[in-house]
Amino acid sequence: MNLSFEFYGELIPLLAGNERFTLNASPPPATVADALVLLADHWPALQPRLDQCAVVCGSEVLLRSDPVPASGQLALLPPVAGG
Amino acid sequence: MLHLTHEPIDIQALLALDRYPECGGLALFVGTVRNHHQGMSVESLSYTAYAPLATKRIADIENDACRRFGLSYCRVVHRLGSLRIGDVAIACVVRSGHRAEAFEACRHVVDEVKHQAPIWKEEHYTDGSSAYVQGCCIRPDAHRDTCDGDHP
Repeated sequence: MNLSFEFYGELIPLLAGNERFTLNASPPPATVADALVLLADHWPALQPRLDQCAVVCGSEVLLRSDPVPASGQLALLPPVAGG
Repeated sequence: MLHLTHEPIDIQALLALDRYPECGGLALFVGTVRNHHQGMSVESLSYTAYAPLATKRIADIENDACRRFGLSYCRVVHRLGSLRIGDVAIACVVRSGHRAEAFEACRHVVDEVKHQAPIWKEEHYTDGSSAYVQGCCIRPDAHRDTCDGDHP
């Protein structure tokens, strides 16, 4: 399956300015946590920040133990600082 | 009016003064861009957001505040994009029967938006450098020791 990640905030400078990344995962990851392991394999610079990131699909916040959505689209949200 | 906007926030339109005749209290908070942060001289800010969740969370915070404090009206708008010193970054208006709950609710709502809405602030300093402001972890299944960040 194609896994598409979107990145926000402080994650973007860690990825040389990339806001999106897609990888082909075979076999597909079973859980969100598994998907993040695959992501970190491609972008080791993300590893130290992943624990503090929420993972969402649309407006739904996912747990690490949740299955990967059928769309394969995940957004990583680092700690927030509005206002 | 939307919860997130790239345009200057129209505060007068947020006040809803021609409605809610039962209200004797109106509290308004306006957050503006200041020229310093933690000893650094700030030239400008850039705000970004994950809109699908930010708009939902701000709406939920408004609705929860109306129930919790018995408000007739609660509205928050957050600015996105590049802002200069003095620009309005966030505005919150609450209207209630009396001033006490208006003041309390306004502070509560602004705090909740700052801590729960996926919005990020990048500061651009006068020396040419920039940095994202450290914020609050919104991961629901985070271990307490990995998500103890907070910002005022």
